[in-house]
Amino acid sequence: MARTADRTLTAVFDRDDDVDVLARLRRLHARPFGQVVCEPAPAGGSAGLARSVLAALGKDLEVGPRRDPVWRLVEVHLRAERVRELIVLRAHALSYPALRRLADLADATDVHLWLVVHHERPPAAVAQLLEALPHDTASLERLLERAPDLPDSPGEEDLPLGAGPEFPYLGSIVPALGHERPRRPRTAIANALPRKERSLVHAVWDRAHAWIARWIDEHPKATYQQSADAVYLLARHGDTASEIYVRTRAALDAFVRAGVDTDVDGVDSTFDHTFGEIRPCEFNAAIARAGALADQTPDPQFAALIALAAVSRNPLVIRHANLRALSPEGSALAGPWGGVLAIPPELRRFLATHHHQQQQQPLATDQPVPLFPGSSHGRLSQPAIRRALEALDAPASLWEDPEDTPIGQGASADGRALLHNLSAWDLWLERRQQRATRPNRGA
Amino acid sequence: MARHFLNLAGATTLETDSYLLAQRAVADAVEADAMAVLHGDAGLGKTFAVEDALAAPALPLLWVSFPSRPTPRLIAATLLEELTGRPTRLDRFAIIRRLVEHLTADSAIVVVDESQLLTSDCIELLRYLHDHRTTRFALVLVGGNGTWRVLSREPMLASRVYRRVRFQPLARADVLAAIPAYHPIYADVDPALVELVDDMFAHGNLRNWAAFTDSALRLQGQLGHGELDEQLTRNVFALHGGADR
Repeated sequence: MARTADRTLTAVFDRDDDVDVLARLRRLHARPFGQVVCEPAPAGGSAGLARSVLAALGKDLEVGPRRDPVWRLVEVHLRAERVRELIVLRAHALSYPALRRLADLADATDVHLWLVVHHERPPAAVAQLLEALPHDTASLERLLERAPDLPDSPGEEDLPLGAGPEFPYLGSIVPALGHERPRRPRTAIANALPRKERSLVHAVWDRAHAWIARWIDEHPKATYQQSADAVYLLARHGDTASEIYVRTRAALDAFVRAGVDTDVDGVDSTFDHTFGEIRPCEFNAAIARAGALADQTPDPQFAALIALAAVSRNPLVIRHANLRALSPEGSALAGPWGGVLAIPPELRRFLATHHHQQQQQPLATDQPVPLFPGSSHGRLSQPAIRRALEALDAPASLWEDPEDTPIGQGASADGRALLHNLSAWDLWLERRQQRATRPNRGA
Repeated sequence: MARHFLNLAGATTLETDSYLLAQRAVADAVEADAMAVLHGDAGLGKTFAVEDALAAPALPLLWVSFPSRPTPRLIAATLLEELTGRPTRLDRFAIIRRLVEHLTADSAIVVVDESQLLTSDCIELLRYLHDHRTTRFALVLVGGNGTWRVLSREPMLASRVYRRVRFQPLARADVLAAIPAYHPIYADVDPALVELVDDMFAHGNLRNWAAFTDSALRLQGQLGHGELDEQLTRNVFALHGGADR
């Protein structure tokens, strides 16, 4: 393999191997920021090192199927997690083949590899590696200084708090909205409510409106995707379907007032079709659970399946999902029968990783490509999807409503169906295409 | 209750300095889920002291010892078997994983006897388990004189060993003070005879004293000899292949 002079391999010698230094080294681990600390299990050889790196990346090899060799999974997840710094502790206990494989992989994935040798001098395996590859040597202090710079949080702390489950039920306003966009949507939404409830709706509207208006001011060059994500973020912090609707409409109204036209009709249409009973929205908890499960799943396809199952809650949709209908960054999936499903930001990386993996395969140019290949007409069957999800440590209700669930009472009736329609495509891109063919009613 | 060498009947526990330090070291290690090392020549009472300190442990006790140059897998499999009560056929990754799970769920005391036989890889495994973010257990390493030489080759231990007790043979003054209380056979014996036994046979080593006492008692019983005297003492020496063992 050809070698370049700029390989980033650094050896660090910790002659004292102090337990307090180990604790400080462990604190360098910051996976969301691309800095990973791996503490290999002893006497594991090359495969053991791969397992330890996967464990450091949060993957549990006992979860889900394993279609690929462990080193292949290491490569996939180093790329998927955008790892920039990989710090391997106790490198003195590793064998040369294990060290060499990791060093080559780090080189191929643009990862800076730090080998921490807790001895005064390198043992034979490390010495052989350092002899063979370009590297530098750093002091322990220099490594310990690499505490990641944590960026400011993306502004979630000033999001309006949820109004609670007592927020007024807005079922009666759907007919009131009619088919034409009202000039004063806030009034139209709350008009049929008693005075006290009306003021509560107004308060939620005003806070959501103000938050998005501020966001627009602070992000003058935001893309459609970023704008859709802001609406999504605001909306998903509503506690009930009614509140999610009010937040969404307030956000879109703020965009309209800022001169950015949006597709409010699509939102109202969803509201009309999916509005259900009054109860707390459990979407965020469900997505967090699915995110944790997908995160510990080493198999990229299964992780993507978990992510999509938590959002779509429908094995039939999963079975018929097509690779080309998934945006490369995993933010939206065009459904097999129309419509676009917005994917929550925390689940996108799993779909994006799987998309990237699938793109590596030779694809037929003139046919739909299954997102989840399987043995049933080239696709994963519904029973196989259910079986795979049943193996996870999660309730079945996370993935699917029971068969006898009446319309309007399933999990989708808690407001999440509205969130699914807050993709950039739904809110803006589709509208731009429509505008090319017919006049813009809201202009 | 700890067991005397040869199950010597009537022997009392000699609370030597090393014994008392070992009691304290083990108790401290257990309380802090820390690491303790007790080392010294064979027969100085290390294992006895640790057994006595852990006679009624409040936590699950895993007492293990291994053949010469054990593999890390053997260490891990033995510990897991001690924890679960079942032998395992899992691979080493799975065993280590299970061990971490068990030692995370419940605190424990792990005693590794004859730890001078451990290799660097084995010590690394024990360190890994002990240093793991989630596990909580006390680790007591007991071993012969090579123990500290083996362990001190690993720089990691300097900051990890919470208590260290070095067992040494009893000094002459300690022998004269302690042996009369050790067994009724020495209650009224001439101190010069105690010195003779220590000089010629026991050399401050408690296991030697136990062996001598056991043989003397048997010979007393067989010969109908009343008390321990020099003749009986020299006969015991003869049974053990002569003095100066």
